[in-house]
Amino acid sequence: MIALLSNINIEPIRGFLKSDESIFTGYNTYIADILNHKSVLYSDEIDKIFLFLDIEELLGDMLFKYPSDNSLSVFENNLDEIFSFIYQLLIKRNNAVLVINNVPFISATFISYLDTNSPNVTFRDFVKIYNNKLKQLKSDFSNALVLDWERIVLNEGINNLFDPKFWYLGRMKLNNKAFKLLSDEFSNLINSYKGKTKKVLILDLDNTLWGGIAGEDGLNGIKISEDGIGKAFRDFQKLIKSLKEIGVILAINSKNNESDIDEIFQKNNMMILKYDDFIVRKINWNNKVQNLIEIASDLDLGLDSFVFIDDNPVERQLIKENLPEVCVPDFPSDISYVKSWFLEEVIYKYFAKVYFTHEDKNKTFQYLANAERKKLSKSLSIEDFIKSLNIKIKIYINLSKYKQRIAQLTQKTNQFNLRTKRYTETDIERFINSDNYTVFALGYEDKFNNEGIVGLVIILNDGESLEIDTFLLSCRIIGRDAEFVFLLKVLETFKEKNIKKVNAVYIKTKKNGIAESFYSDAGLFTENKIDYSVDYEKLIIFLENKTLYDGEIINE
Amino acid sequence: MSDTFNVKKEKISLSASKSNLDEWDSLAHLKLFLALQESFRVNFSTDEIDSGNSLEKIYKLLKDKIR
Repeated sequence: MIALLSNINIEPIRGFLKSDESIFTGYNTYIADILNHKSVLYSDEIDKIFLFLDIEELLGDMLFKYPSDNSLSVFENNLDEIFSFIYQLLIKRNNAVLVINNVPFISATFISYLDTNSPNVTFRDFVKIYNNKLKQLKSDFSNALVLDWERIVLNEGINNLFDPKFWYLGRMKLNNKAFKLLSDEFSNLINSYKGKTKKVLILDLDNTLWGGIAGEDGLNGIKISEDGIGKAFRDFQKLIKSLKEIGVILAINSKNNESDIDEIFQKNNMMILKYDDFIVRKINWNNKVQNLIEIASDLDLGLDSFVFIDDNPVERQLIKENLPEVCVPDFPSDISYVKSWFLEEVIYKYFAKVYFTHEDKNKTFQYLANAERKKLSKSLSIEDFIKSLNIKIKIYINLSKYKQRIAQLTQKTNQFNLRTKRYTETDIERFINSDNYTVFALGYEDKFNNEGIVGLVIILNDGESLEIDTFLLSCRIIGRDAEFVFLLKVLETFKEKNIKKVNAVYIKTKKNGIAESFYSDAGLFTENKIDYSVDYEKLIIFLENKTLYDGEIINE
Repeated sequence: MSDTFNVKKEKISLSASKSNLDEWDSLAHLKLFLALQESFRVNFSTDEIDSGNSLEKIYKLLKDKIR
C-alpha cells in the first residue's frame, strides 16, 4: 500500500495509482505524520511512501521577499530540518521505499530578469539547494528514490500541468494530466527499483535502423549518414548502442535476405551498430511472431522480457495480438522525433535504471555508518518539532470584523469540527452581541506561514458552567497542539467568573472522526462518548501541563 | 461521475446534486471538475466550479462550453 504525503493536496492522484491501494494523509500534514510514530506511515501495510513537495509552498512567504544570503540560509536550515525528519522516517521504515520529487526552477518570480541576471542570490539558488539535498539523501539511502518531476515539467510545460483555480478552491495545484504523469512516473520508478525492467530490445531493420529498404535501395542507397534525415537514424543507433552499454540485450527480427544485411553491416561505414552487437538475429522471411518466439527460446527468457520496435504498424499489431506479453511501443511517423520518442516511450518506460551498478543496489545504509553526522543523534520528537515551529497563536475575542470568516468556517469545516453546527454571519453577530455567548477566533502563524483565522470556539456561559457550543479547527494546522493551547486560553478568560464546570458535546458525522478523541485528550470525561464534562479548575491545570507553548489574547 | 465518487452508476440520478448525494463532498466536487476539464478539454472558471453543484447545472455548463 502506498502512503501519499505532500505539502499540497494530491488526493486525486489516488485515482490514477491503479496497481496499488493508496492513502493520502492530508494537506500539509507530512511532518506531523512523520513525527507521529502512531501514524499510518509506520504501519506494516505501507511499503511505499510518496512524498511530493511543491517548492513554492516550501518557500512560503520567502517567495515574496527579495532573496538574500540570509533568506537562503534560513531556507537551507528549514530544509535541513525537514530532511532530518525524512532521514528518521527512512531509518525507521527501512523495509519501505520512499519516493520524493525533485523540482524545476520557478518559472516566474517578482524579481523578474534579476532571477537570471543578478550576481547575487536568486530564487534559482533556492531550487538548487533543494535538489542538492536530494542528491545527498540518495547517497545516504538506497531505499530513497528521486522522482524526476523537473523532467516532466520541462517536457509538458508548467501551464499544462498546474491549474491555479484548484489551489484556491481546495489546495490542489495539479490538474489530472499532471496526476496521471506523476502516477505513471511513480510506477515506472518503483518497477525499476524492483528490477522489473525489460531485458531485451528487439529491432526491425528497414525504416527502423535506417531509412529505406535494404533489398531495394541497397548498401549505399539506404539512409544512414551524417547528412539530412540519415543523421536521425544514426542518432537512433547511437542511443541503442548506449542502451547496450548499460546491459540491455539487442536482437534483430527482420524480413530480409540475410546476405543483403550482412553486406550492410560489413561495408556501410555509417552504421553505428555492428553485427555482433546483436545477440540473436532473425533475418528471414518468416512470420515475425514465429521469429520472436524463437528469440525467446534461444535466450531462455519469458516473453515479458521483450520490447519490440518496428516502424510497420501491421507487424506491431500482429505481435500485440499474438504475444500480448511483449511490449510494443508505437513508432514515430516522422523519424525526426525518434530521439525524444525513444527516450520517453522506450527507455524510461522499459529500461529505466535506478542503480548505476549492482553494488549500488546492495550498498546498505552508509548513512548509519557515518556516525559523524549530528542531525540524527538528537532524534527529534514531535514535541521538539512543535517547539521549533515558533508557533504564534492569537485569540481574538468577539471581533465583529471577522464574522464573515467565522461564519464561513462553520459552513465549510467538516473534519475537525466537534459539533458541526452551521452558522450565518447574522448568527455570529448575534453571539457577539449577546451577554451569554463569547466568540473566539484563532489566528495561527509559524515560522513557515501565516495561516490567518483557522479556528473557532463559541462558549455559552450560564453563570455556573461553560458549554462549548462550537469547537472547530482548519485541518491544515492539526497535529501541532494548537487545539489545546486554543482551548486553554479560551477557558482562562473566564478565570474571574466563578465557573464550576465545563461541558461539551461531540456529535459524530461521516467526516469528523479526526476529532473524536479530542475532548478526552484535552482532559474532559465522558461515559457515552457524546457528552463530556469536567471541573473547571481541574481542566485548566490539565491543559497547562499539556501545552508546550502559549497564546496571546487579543481583546479589541 | 460514478468513478469520481466511487458509487454505482445506478445511484446517480439526473437530479443528483451536492445536497442529495452523500459522496458528493467538496473534495469529490473538485475531482469531478478536474476530470471534466480533462475529458471534455474545456476550462471552467472558479465561479462555474463553485456554482456547478448539481448534475443539471453541470450539464448546462458543459453544453455552453462545447457548443
